[in-house]
Amino acid sequence: MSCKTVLTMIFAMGSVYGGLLLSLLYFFKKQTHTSEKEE
Amino acid sequence: MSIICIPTIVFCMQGKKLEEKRPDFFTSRWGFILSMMGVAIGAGNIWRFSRIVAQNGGGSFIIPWVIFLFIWSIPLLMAEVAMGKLTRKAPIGAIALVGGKKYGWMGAFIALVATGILFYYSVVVGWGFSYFFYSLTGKISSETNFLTLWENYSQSFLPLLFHGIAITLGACVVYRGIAGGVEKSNKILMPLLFLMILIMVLRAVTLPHAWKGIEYLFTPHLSDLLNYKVWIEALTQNAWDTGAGWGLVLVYACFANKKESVTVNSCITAFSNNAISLIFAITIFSAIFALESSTGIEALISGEGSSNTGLTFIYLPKLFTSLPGGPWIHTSFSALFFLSFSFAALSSMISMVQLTSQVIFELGIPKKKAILFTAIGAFLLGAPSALNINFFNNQDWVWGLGLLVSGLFIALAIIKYGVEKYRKEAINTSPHDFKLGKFYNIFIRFLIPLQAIVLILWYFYISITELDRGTWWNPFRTFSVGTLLLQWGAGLIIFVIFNKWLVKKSLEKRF
Repeated sequence: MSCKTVLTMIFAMGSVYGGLLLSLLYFFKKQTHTSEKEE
Repeated sequence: MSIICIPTIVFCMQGKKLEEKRPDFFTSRWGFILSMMGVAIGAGNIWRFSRIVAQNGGGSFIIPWVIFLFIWSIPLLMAEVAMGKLTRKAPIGAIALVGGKKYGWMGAFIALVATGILFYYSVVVGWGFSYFFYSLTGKISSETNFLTLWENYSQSFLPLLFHGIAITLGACVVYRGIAGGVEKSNKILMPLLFLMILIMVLRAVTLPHAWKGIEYLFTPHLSDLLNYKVWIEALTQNAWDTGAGWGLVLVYACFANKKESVTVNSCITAFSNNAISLIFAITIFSAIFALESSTGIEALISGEGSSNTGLTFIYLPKLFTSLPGGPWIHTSFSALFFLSFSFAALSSMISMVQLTSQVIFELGIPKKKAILFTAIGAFLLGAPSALNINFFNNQDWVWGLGLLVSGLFIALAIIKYGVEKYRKEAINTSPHDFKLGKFYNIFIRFLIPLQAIVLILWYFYISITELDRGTWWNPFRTFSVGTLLLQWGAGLIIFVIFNKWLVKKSLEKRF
């Protein structure tokens, strides 16, 4: 695989899956935080 | 047929018992997010994305496609979720409350576009179900002539029958309410969809030479990247497949908990939508290159694969039945594909039934009757699309482009309200959220309207110069500007005339 292919893959996969992962982590972190507060 | 009908009737009957026990709101954050994903992930991710990627140079398309995710889809989804939570109204009431009572007609147009799409979208769900049954009954095999199969199928009464089944399923889900119907169905459909996609992609990437397909998908070419058409197609794909600006997420957000997040949920929805598109593309390109067929990509770009239906119902079954592994692999791969296609489309269709019935309900019709009217109306007005592919293409053209106007109207209503005020009062309100900075104002004030206007003008230009050259003004042509203006115009004139009544009725109703 060429360098530009790898870079595009990192950009696309990183943005989409990285963004999804970060959003989910934030979602679960906040959810746990809120449940602890409610308890 | 009883496989679908019996569970549907039982599902509806259970709904009656549950109706009085549950409040009609989403009961969990996860349920709300899965339902939002259900809106976004639909047929567009599966039957349009791979074809458009192939037609626009593979990796060269992926780069602008990711960029437009951030400057179109995510900001618009945030705007919609915030509007639903702020107003607790379907599009007419929501736009009237945010943009002013004079502009309720814009909300009515948003509802009309989503309803127009519902009419033919249930036909698509029906096609998916039909081909799933074809896969199970052995009609999809290496000896099948898929062009003949599709022609025979589309000219028979079966699309109408399955259109009826699809709309009945959707209406039954909505009839059971938000918690017992929409949320529950998405909690089942979405994980099953993810599981099926995972199985398919694992099988596809472990095929010999699959990496060549992945390489094709991610290799950019400078000449394509400098081509403005690639950028326009990338924006179009984002506008059509994330569900941003459709008003559907807005309606779901009306039933969200007060503390439900706007920014995080919108990001999860948009990212997961594009993630699913990428996975499907990896699956399809891996399978194409696994066959070592140099004509694979060409078939995807032109000929049989030149339209969404051609790709999905003629080329892909042919591809699946050519995979190494024998009849069992062929049947299971095509069955999994068409079931996941049906689930993705069904989850989006449910949100359209919810939107239309909610609008009718807010205009003063009791909820159950509103759902019944929606189902009967969708069946009758969707019937021409089920029976005639040209009519289907016309409706797809008219209301597909209408979505760009819907996105524009949402942005205009927020501009009227005050973008800064909206960001503070509607978006940055949940304790579960990350707070948006002032940069968001630029998206709503400039970037969204600019992108919508550029796209609308572009498609007018395409119609005049390519799709319907010479007869673009004729309202009875499938892809003409004339048909588009006639159908949009008829709706807009009626809504402007009855604006006062529509707004009054929508605002006085509380759920």
